[in-house]
Amino acid sequence: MKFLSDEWIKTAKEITSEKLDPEKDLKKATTSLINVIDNIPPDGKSVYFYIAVKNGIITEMLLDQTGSLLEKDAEFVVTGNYDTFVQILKGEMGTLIALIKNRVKIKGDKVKALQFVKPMDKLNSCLREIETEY
Amino acid sequence: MTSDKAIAVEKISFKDAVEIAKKGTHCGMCRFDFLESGVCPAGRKHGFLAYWPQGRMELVQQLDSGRVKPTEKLIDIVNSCSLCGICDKQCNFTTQLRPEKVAKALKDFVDNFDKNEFQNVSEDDILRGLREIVGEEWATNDPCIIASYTMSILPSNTKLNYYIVMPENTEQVSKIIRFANKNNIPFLPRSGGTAFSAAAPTVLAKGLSLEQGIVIDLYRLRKLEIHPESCTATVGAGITMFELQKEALKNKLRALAAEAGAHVCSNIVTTGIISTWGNRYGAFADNFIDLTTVDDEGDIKKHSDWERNNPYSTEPGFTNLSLTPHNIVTEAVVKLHPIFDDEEVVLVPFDNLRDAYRLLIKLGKRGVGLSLAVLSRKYLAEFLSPTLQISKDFDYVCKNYLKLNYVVSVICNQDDKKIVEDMVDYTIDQSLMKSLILGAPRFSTLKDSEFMKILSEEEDPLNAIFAGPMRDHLEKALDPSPENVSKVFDDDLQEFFKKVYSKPEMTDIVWLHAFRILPTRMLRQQMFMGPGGAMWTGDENHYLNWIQMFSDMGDKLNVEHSLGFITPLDHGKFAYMEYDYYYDHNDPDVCDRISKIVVDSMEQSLVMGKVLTILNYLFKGIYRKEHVLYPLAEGISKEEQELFKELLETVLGEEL
Ligand SMILES: Cc1cc2nc3c(=O)[nH]c(=O)nc-3n(C[C@H](O)[C@H](O)[C@H](O)COP(=O)(O)OP(=O)(O)OC[C@H]3O[C@@H](n4cnc5c(N)ncnc54)[C@H](O)[C@@H]3O)c2cc1C
Repeated sequence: MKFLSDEWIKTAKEITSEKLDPEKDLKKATTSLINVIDNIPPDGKSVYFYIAVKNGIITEMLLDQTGSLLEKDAEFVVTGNYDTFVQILKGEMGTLIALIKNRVKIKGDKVKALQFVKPMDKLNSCLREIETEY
Repeated sequence: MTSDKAIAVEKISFKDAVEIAKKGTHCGMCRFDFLESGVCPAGRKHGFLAYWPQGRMELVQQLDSGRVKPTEKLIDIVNSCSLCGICDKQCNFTTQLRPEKVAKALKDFVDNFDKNEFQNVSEDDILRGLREIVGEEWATNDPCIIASYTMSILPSNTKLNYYIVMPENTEQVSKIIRFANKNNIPFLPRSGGTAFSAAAPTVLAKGLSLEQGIVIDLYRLRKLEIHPESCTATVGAGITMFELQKEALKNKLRALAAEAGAHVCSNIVTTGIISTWGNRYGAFADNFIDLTTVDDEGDIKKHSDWERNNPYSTEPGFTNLSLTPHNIVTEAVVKLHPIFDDEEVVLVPFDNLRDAYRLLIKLGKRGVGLSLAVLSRKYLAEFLSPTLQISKDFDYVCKNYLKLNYVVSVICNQDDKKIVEDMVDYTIDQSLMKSLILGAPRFSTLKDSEFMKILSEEEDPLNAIFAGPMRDHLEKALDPSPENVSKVFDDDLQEFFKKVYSKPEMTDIVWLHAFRILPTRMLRQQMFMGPGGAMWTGDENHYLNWIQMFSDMGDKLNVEHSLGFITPLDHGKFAYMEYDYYYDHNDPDVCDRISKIVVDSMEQSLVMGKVLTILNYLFKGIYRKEHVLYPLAEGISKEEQELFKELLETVLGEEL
């Protein structure tokens, strides 16, 4: 299914709630983040992908193209090119390497953000199980 | 004939060439004229690394490994080389390698290769787009050219899924970045490749190198203008430190310079130019009046633009870690400094580090000297010795007989020279240093001499040799002359090196400090990794314990190691220290150990605190030193240490 389509988001919600352990995988984290995915082919638009987690349980996964999700005041804003997000989701590049290579930029408390790198990598490997067309 | 067969036919000579090439360390000294021998004409004309001696050596390795198959471009690459021998002179001076032999073997390989077997490479949409920006000639997706960038921006284990582009000006850099973003292609600038090549065999390559995408080779941005009236220079991103220094000298001015082959703009960005002249001339944003940058959106900005947000500040703390630049600096207006007529070198020898460190910091705080550093014995031996074996013997003699383990090196005017001489019992002057350079081969043979054995039995051999009549005996015994030092080079190069060593600058320590053509001798057929950082000098024990930590790590992991240098910063309030590990970059086991040292030493440094490690230093060069160095954080907490370890595990996986 097409990456970031409604169907993809629906499957993502199902698969993450089914497969991710709130304690082991998501470390009982409570946070929210918005991924700003820029330069989406073919027309170079941006997509905003919002995720909220409470005590290790994903409570919200929302998608929007207008930027209105920015009003949700997520704890972190992660911005990067489409291709970088694809590389991360495909497991070709870790979140931290993407950060160190300036491929993604994070707004928010850096130490706290780094604490979520591992849970984010778990989330991404779970999403990798969705048969995705990029 | 198939390509495999071709390699088999050429096996012996080609294999020999590969063996030479493997010892190459991409120091980049073949890309500028540091011996007045000229510089590779093919490289100058065509620009791409494959046309330079360094690139040809890499290409030979890549062809041998089968990672790249010959393309038609290879014919052009080999034909561009007239085997003029300039590369042999340059490379032999630093590494004792003979790149011309490699170039010859590559020619033979191509001559014997079945013309029908050359791969055809077609232009795709991305290449077309890049060529529209820079012109047909200056963008390529040719695998042979791409492969030559391996180990000096590209890792050795990726597909050759790259484009190389050589812009000529800032506008073209901007257009390339916009084009790359539009097509979702990562990009990375390359200058001299000296930082890349030092990182390449280690775990740092993962963060520093480009895994796919567009290499922006900045060599063609070659603007260089000296403005004597304002003591500044405008320097394009393709200009090396050496080239700037040479032009500045014509105007009796000096640039703050570090590695000769590093490009000025890149050095500003990468480390803020770590240099022994830094206490006097500055560091980080002190280096420049203005910068022209292109950000990752392709926007062109100048630091001097008064309407922009403060470009001089950066986030504090250990989490501010970045292994790629935030902006590409395409041009810098750098500060230059006056050269005085009465400048001289004074070296103060020490057997122990604590005393050397004390003198250094005292001089730094008093503002004595233009260039100030503690240099280790190993550094001196590497720099002064014309061959690797001589450097080993030189080191042995200093250690076992003279107990000369460190020197405080001071470049200063006559007033400051008096201050230094009043503070210590004895010094080594320019004349003795000249004799040590021209007499290095003889000095190393003193390893077996009775004279040295007797000397070593003195209570204070340093005093005996440098403060007494034995100094003259030593100088005579060295029999220093350009002729004698040239004899250690290959027969056919001896005449050339005799002339080189006859030039006054080759034995002028002030010139050598400013032009820095000797440090790449540390890369003499081997690699080095120099972690360290800047530490507050207020607590001497803390500083020396920190150095000891690096030494212990070298012992524990069984890697040859030594202090490199310590140099004060900001009026002696901080001092930068580099600790060096020497290793064979072709041995994967020792490369792993070096990687472990990089990671562990950073962790230990963060735990100790009051230090800005080299990894945190990287890519802060365009900010004010006041933002980067103040405050230097206390040691990280246990919790932060755990986090740091966990993060490294995610980055490095099972690799370490
Ligand atoms: C023997 C040796 C001695 C050294 N001694 C010193 C020393 O005394 N002091 C010191 O400071 N360093 C030293 N270095 C490290 C190295 O020279 C510096 O890091 C230097 O900045 C690298 O310059 P380069 O042109 O080789 O850059 P490269 O290796 O080509 O690039 C280094 C990094 O900078 C980026 N980059 C390149 N050009 C630009 C640009 N114009 N704008 C933005 N980013 C750019 C690249 O993408 C890369 O990430 C030494 C290295 C060696 C091998």
